[in-house]
Amino acid sequence: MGDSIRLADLQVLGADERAQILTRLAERAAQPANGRLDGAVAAIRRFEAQYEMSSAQLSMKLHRGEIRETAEIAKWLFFISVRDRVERKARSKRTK
Amino acid sequence: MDQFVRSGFVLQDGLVLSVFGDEYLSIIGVIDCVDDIRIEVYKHIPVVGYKGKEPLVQTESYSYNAVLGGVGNILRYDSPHGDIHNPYHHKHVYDVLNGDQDGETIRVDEEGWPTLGAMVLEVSDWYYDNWQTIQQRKTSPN
Repeated sequence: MGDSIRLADLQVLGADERAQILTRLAERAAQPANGRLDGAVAAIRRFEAQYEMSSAQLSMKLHRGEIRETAEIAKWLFFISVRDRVERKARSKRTK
Repeated sequence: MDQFVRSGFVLQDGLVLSVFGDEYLSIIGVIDCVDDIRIEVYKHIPVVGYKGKEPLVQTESYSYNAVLGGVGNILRYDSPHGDIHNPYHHKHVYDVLNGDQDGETIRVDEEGWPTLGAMVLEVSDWYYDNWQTIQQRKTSPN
């Protein structure tokens, strides 16, 4: 089993096998995000290039009502949230 | 999700559960539904503990967007976007069958943000409530 599974495939498994897979994925989730965090950052960069503005500028424009929160913008904001939460968690681990 | 597949509303569950790392999992993908409705899902889920060997998870960041293909957004639930723009759970509702592209943003309280299953049910209810209009649009799109 790799690091991912389709939910539809998980659904058809027996309860024990499903539990084993979820436990294995959760244990693997304890490893550093590394490449996957890079993926979130890359998604943010793509949106910044597409809209020709930084994420900070996006926040200000949304706050001022100069830009609408479309579905695409919501995806951008999702990846920003993911990046920020993971980085914040990593910082708090380092300071402990 | 199984109940929605059995009912015929969901045609294909394309969601994928992946390891993200740093104690996070993610669920990303598209749920294809009848009449070109699709639900785009982005979820970021920390593992918050274990009950015995069973991992306990809690959705932290999410965006669930329901789209009527070729027409527009039906509704979308989003988690808080940070400190200055919509810093709370919220819902965007669109009068999509009347050409609404802007939608209305409604704040959702901490107890009110939905599970993905609840979101799919809401979209399903919307579909069946508007079934006749949707079918009329298909036969005479203008």
